[in-house]
Amino acid sequence: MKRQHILITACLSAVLYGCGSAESDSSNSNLNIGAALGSGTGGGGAVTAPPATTPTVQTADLQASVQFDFATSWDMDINFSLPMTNTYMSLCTDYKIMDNGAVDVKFDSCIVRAPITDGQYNSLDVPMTNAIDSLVAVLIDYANPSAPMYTEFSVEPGKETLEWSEGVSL
Amino acid sequence: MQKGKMFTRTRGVRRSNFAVRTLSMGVLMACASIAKAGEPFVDSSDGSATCPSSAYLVQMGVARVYDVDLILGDYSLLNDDVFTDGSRGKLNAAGYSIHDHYLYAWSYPHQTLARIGNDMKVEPLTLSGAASSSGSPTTNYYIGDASTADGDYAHYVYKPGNGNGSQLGLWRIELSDSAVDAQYSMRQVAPFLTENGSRKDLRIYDIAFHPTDGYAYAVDRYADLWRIDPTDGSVLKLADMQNNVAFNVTGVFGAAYFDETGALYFSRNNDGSIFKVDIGLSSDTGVRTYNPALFAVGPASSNNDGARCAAAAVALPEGDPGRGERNIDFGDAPFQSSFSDNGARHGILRDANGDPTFYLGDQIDGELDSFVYPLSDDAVQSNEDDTDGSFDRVDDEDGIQFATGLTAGSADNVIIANVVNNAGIADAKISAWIDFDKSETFDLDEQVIVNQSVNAGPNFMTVEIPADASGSTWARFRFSSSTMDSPTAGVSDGEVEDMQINITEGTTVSWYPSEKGFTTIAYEDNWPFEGDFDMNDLVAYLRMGTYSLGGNATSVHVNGEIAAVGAAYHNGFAIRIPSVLNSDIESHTLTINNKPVDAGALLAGAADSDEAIFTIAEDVWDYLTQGEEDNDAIIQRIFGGSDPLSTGADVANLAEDKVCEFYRTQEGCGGDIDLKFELKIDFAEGFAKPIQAPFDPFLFATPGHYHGELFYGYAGAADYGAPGRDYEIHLKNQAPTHLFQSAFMTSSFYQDYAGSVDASNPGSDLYYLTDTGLPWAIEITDRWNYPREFQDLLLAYPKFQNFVETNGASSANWFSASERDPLYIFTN
Repeated sequence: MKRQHILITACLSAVLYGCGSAESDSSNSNLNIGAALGSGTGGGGAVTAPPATTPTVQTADLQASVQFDFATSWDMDINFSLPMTNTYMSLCTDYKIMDNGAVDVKFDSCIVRAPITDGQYNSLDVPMTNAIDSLVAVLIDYANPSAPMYTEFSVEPGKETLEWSEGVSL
Repeated sequence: MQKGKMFTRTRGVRRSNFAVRTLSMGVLMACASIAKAGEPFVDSSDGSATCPSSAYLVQMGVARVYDVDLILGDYSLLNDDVFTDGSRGKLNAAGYSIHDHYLYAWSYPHQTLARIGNDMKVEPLTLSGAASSSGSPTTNYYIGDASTADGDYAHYVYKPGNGNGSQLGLWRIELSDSAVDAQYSMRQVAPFLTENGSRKDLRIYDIAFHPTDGYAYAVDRYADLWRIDPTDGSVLKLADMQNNVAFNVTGVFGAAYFDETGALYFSRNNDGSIFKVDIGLSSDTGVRTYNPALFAVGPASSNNDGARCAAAAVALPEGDPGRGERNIDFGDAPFQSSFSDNGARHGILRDANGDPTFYLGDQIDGELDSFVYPLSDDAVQSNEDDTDGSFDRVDDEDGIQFATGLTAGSADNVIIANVVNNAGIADAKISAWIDFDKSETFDLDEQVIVNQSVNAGPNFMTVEIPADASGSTWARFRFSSSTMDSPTAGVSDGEVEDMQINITEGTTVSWYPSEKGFTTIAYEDNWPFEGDFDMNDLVAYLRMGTYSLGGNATSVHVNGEIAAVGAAYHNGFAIRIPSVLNSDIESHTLTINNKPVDAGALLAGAADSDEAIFTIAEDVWDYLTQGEEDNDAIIQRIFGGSDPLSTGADVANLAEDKVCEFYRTQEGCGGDIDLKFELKIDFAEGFAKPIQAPFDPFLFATPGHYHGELFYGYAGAADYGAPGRDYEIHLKNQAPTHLFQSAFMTSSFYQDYAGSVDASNPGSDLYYLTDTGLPWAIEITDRWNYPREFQDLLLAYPKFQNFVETNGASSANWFSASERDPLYIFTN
């Protein structure tokens, strides 16, 4: 709901709304000039360029299934049997493979980070976002931290499980 | 040149409270051919001239003159050919005269005082009165400065030793004709310095005249601070400054400078450290503590002498803080970051095209001063998007990667520093500090990486975390060619990256949507009526981290930002953790803008429900500033202060006025994000329930505030029209909390109210959907650029239509940057 914060007289509120107090706080005479002037449901405060534009099809014209939740993510189970123990695993979304074959991973893009002592990582219902189309798993061997192991996975929205065997070693 | 390297800095213009900017190297070289030899640095003929802010440093056996930027310790060569007659040798005892705006220095090859103008050429002066058989001095003075005192138009030189009858001691050289002394006459003030009447030979190497009190000051090699009376050579020891600080502040200080505030800067020859100590403008010496601080790291040299106009400020350049001059990178931790705190700062090296050449990660951006957290320098960018002309956010804290989690009690925490070194600098290194004790200070003993050499590309290094460290804190990483033993002060190159870190006990962490990413929750706030679908009435960015041990969650961290409020209704914002009860929670903390919120965020459970609900803000407007024009100003401007309706004004044209009514939904309205929060929840031992992000973020009506005519008749709230906490809006088909007034969804009064389009049916688990299945809140799993005020979502993101019409099967990334129409997107 948009309303102008323009101060106008309290009597105006009665005229516009035909009933009592409009606002109970210190700005209790604030009223919706925009709405009062017919700027539309839920609007009325727009004061900046570009002017409101009416699309051919408006969002309000759309029809959605009652069960459709508009989500842009889904859940996926991860079942990894890793090729090493005593390692630190990061599962990340932002990385690039350099011309020389090196892998540049943005570790702050990771969705899971875990110390692994038994070579197993299993997690149910890991939320994945629609923007993710691939993942890279980085394994840091504590005994040799400067030589990480990288494995790449492809994913698509709705994929239900991810197994280590699906990965491609980089 | 930078320390002999073939790279130059694109220098910013410093604060110019003076009429003529002093010449930096590039300017000097370009203008040398047209400048008149021997002219003063600024034109004082009309009385308007004030001082240049540069410090001048004379170095080397064959004198070279440098322009020193005290803020960074950066320096550039002004002239390495200062003699016009083929002479070779040193210049020393330099000073800047505020009376005529020339530099003066003792010329070793000429054994006389020399005058230096803006062409940086030496003009030897013919002195009279010096005590030698020839009438001219035959010694070399290496300590000196020009007096700043009114009426004392003179340059003083000093050389320790018994000057009785010789040329040593303190001497005064008249720079103009006076009643006592002819121009350039040289007379001995004192054969030696005296302390309480006894001879005192100071181990000093430069003096600097205070801007106002008429005294000269010096720091000796033992870090003793001395005040020297130029009228009689008496000295007063003000402090042994080494006693006041934990770091080493002794050494040979070959250059000293003052600024207009009475701060003394003194530069150590062997490592270029520039220290600052506040002398103050008052001559009252009894109340000062004289605590020196490392201010910058400048050039090292075995031979230094400095000169500077003491009346000039040492200040950051002025300009647009968002864009413009951005040649300094500041840290942005909530402490030890701003210039006023002597925060960490690095000059940005650039090549001839202006591209940075020596930094960490993929990005570096500069600021005019620190954007201290919760502010962010990410929006301070000039890399204009080619497609829509907007200025994209750029996070330049991207050069340090934590390849493992940070585990307390472990020395195996792996960090990767990605170095860009197109400058070819051989001695690049990294230092780092972590505020383990959360004292809001990077203490010297919290340095975890000490000047570790790094090469271009990824550099792996390990960091030890103490066993007693835990939780969220700040880390600072500094990259430079300079030695960095301090988390503060300026250096001439590299980058500083500050980041929030979390130290754990070796837990598994899952992030939603990622460790540094955000998901967006966007609301229309007039349920049960149809909104205008600009989806910006309330926009929150959220990130959730779940920590677990043995498969069970131990804690949850929620980081959030209120990105926009395109509504006049007053709304609160809260998060429910579904399936979790109050009794499952051991403790929680909420910080807003890095400050703890005293009031607990966890709502007390009702008798019939104990669900865990955390209130972030009862009224988000409490933290936000929508624009610059207040209501009175608006009325005054539009209606001349009269009742709007009585003026007969065309109030419909209000829509054409540039008025900031809302927060970050209208062009130019709202700056950086004002409300950032962090919610930390620790679960009780034995907690074993599954939890899953994004949990249940929701909007509620702020108690006591009007929320639409529907609620005029609602007596459940304390105020008519103000449903308060009884009113909630959640994501579609997410049930409201136990605090919600269920009658709003079940009573025919509300469901049948004219204009209501709500089709909620709790019996069928249908909530917050219109009769066409549309929501009042949507989640977009990205840091989403939402529509401008009053612009329909489909205009901004046309593929949303296909996404909806296929039940999400197509156009899954309808919200991405490549799918938007920038004309309808809010840009700050």
